Amino acid sequence: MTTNPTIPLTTPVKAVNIGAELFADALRTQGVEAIQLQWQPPPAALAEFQGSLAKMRAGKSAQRIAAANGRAIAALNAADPWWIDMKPAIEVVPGLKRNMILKSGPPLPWEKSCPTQQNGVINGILHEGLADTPEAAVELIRQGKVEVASANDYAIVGPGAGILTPSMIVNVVEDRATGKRGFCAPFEGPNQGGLCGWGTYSPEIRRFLLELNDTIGPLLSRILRAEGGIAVRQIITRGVEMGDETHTRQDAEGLILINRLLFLLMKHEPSPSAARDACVDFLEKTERFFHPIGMASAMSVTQSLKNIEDSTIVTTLCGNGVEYGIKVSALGDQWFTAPSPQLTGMYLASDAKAGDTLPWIGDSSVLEAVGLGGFAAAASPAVARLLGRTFGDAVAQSRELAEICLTANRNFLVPALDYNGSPTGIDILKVLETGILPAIHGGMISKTGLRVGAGVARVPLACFSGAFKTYLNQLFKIQ
Amino acid sequence: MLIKCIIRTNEYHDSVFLMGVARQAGQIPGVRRAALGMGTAMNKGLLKDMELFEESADAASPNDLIIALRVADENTLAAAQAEVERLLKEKYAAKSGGGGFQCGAPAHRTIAAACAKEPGLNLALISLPGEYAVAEAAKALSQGLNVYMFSDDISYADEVMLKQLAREKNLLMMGPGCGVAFVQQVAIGLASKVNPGAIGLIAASGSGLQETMVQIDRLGEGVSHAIGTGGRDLRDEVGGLATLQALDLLEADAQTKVIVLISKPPGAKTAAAVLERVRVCRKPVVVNFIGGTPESVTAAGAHFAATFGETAERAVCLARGEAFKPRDTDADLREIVERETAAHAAGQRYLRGIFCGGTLAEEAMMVMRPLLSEIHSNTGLLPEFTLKDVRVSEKHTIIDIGTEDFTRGRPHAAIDPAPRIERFAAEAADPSVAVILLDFLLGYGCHDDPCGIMAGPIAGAIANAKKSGRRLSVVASICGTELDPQRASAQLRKLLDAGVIVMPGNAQAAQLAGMIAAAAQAG
Repeated sequence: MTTNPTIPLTTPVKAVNIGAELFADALRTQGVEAIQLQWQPPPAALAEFQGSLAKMRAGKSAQRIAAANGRAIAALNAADPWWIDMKPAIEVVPGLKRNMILKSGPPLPWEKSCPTQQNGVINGILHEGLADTPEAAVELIRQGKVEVASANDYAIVGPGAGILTPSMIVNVVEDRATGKRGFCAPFEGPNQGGLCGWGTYSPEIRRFLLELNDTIGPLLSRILRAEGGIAVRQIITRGVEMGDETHTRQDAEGLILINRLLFLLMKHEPSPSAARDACVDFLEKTERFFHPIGMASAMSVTQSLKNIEDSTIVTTLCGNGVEYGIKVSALGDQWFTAPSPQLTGMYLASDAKAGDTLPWIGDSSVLEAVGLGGFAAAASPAVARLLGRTFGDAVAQSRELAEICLTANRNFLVPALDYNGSPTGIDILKVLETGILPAIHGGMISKTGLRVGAGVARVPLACFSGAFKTYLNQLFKIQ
Repeated sequence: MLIKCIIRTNEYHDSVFLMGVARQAGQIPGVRRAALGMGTAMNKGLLKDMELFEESADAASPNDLIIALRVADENTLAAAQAEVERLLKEKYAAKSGGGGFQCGAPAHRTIAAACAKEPGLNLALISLPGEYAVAEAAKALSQGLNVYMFSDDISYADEVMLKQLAREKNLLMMGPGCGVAFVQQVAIGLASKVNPGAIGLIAASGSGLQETMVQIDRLGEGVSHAIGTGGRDLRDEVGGLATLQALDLLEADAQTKVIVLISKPPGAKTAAAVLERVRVCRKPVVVNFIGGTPESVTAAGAHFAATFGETAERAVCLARGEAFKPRDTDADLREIVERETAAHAAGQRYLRGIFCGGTLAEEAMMVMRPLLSEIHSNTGLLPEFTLKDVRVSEKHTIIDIGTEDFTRGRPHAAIDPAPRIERFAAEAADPSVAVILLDFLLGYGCHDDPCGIMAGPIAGAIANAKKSGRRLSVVASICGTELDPQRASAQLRKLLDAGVIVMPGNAQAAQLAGMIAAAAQAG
């Protein structure tokens, strides 16, 4: 038996030292480069997985997993999302039904859902005209005549309570690299706390939603189709260079997009019209107009990460105010959930308290699945201050999260990371090896459904350990 | 209760900054709630939600700042407004310290991250507790790194798993329990530096490898590569995985002309497999299975050596194409023995050896066995004389001070001399002791002055013994070279000045000490 007959340790020797630093020093004194790893033992809760993880790294499975994750990385880097249309959800979202109300986060029985989301679903039923009173709406749900489903399972992003009804307009984003689509309803103008957002409903909200359907949606749809869509990737690329991390802050991205849209409105609707006025008014009042398009883009990209055999990449991250859930590529559409985490950050009002806010609710952390938000913290000095932290801390957060990622996203180059790509592609194996949990940026919502601040949370460990156990059971029978 | 919205026209601040100001404003006495925002439609809606909206805010444009306060009375309002305006002015005050781009920049927490950011990494050194070491070694190998593992408390199954993975990926898995390696002229672990040369070594013994390399250096030859395999590699549970791989590598390595194989006695099955591989090896192989017998080794066409000194001599002769001639040094030693025993007091009868190198302790026992009938120890080499209490010597005793009994919670004895200094004092004070035998390990990673730190206690003990009418003989060898950071010649001077009889190798030191003890017992 012979092996490759060269000494595998080649010159120059360059070492990484894990453990007592004297071993690194011994090399350094000889002029050999040695890097000390800031190694920390995995948390006690992870001790039980380390044996299986080591076997997985050492065994034949390692190559299969690496190859599978390589496909996911390729999809992330090749992603090319385009905002192509605005249409009522029922017309464009595959699998949607007339008697379906969508909401954010993993599925949850009606009784266990938080009141904010319950109210939102009831409002959705009323909005669709399926019932006349909240009581009748609840009865429809109990009888199964209205189906309450997770938006995420339909490639729809539901921010906040995530309420979406079949008739509501959605932004349609298509990843031109794969043809896969993601959807997200536009923010509802000045009343951002409206139906879609946080589960409240009012005559003003209703009026605005109908205006979207009748006036704004059709005009923007016509423009988008005439233009062949608007490329989103470039907008995010520029935004990340201009201080956006694209989740809590998308100011630059919004300006770039709205600037473009105003020119397009003049080009395609040269004469003053009620529809054009409505659009301009909508764009002026909807500060975070870009946000749903950014989220739908992320959703379109994550679609091609799904169902890659053996891949350990996280494809979905979201919460419903009670539970937080993830999905993992090789495990398809199975949810792995844990109690939803609380956010820490800054409140709009001086007297708001942690206990007033809901635990994480919303699908917006799909952005984190493609390397934005918490992973791109280093892109946004302003968001760093959300936590009362320094910009250095934000850079450190991105660097820390790189430890659990499969790649650096070449589409999102971060100046403060020396134009390295934002860390992208959460690997459940790396999470369980290090105990580093994904940081997710987002809005804080009060129990009554109002936006009260912004902050950051960490995805609960139990989501990853649950997924890993299933992964082992289903795919790797390790003796 | 008063709700007031103060408009500051054409003054933009970003929302995150304003939230910070609001938080501070909320701490002003009398302020019930405060919020600041640009005059956008959305923010006006939010102020209504927070019950902070007042008619005057309607006039604010998105370029105007709204300061919304809910306060007890007008006085509080004025104070709060002043404070908020002060906070707004402080906007540009820089935060001192702690921040900046480089905060936490170069630190990597995982091997994967280090590999991604540090091109050219090719070796991982692992000295974590065993429960973590396996996982990290697996990660390192899967990243294409060679591994040197000092950690030793891992299972056979894990060791086999790692070594098989290394072999599949054509990487070195040195360890678990690897103390010494010297690859590409780099001393890895607690190793001495030697000159480059034609002799390649494979060793399942750290101090055995170190001593052999040092003796090769002393004879003027050099080393191509010295691959440590970890002490258990030739047990049947592991099956010599790393040794067999290293034999392939060194046989193919152009610089290597002679191969040296060092191990404690192998498992029967593994010995057969390894010697079969040695038999077909195209290069001469010198084998030292510590305490082993020559028959099977010579049957495999290899050269048998009983001590590390002899191993080095045979390898050097093979490298130079000279015939090996055993040297008889006993004549030189007898003179020293006579001098020492003449000075011993009546009750001085016993030998005590205190070793940092475990294999050196075993070699000393093998060398002294023909001279002394009973050698107690904690090495396990002579099971019938295993010490009942490792802290209490009996008659002739050899202690490996590097075992878990002495090093629990401390670094290895080659790094931390304290346990040996303590033990030395106890042995030196024992009036039945005639001779104390010591080894001194030099090299990168070892204590920076191992002889210097023992010199004082040794000189003191010899002087004390003299006051009590005894002659305390101290015999030692230095396992190190001139290329080591401690410099062997400088270390030698310190021992000689302290009154130590220093021999050129461990086997000779053991031989001399054994002869002194035998003579003391007889006299």
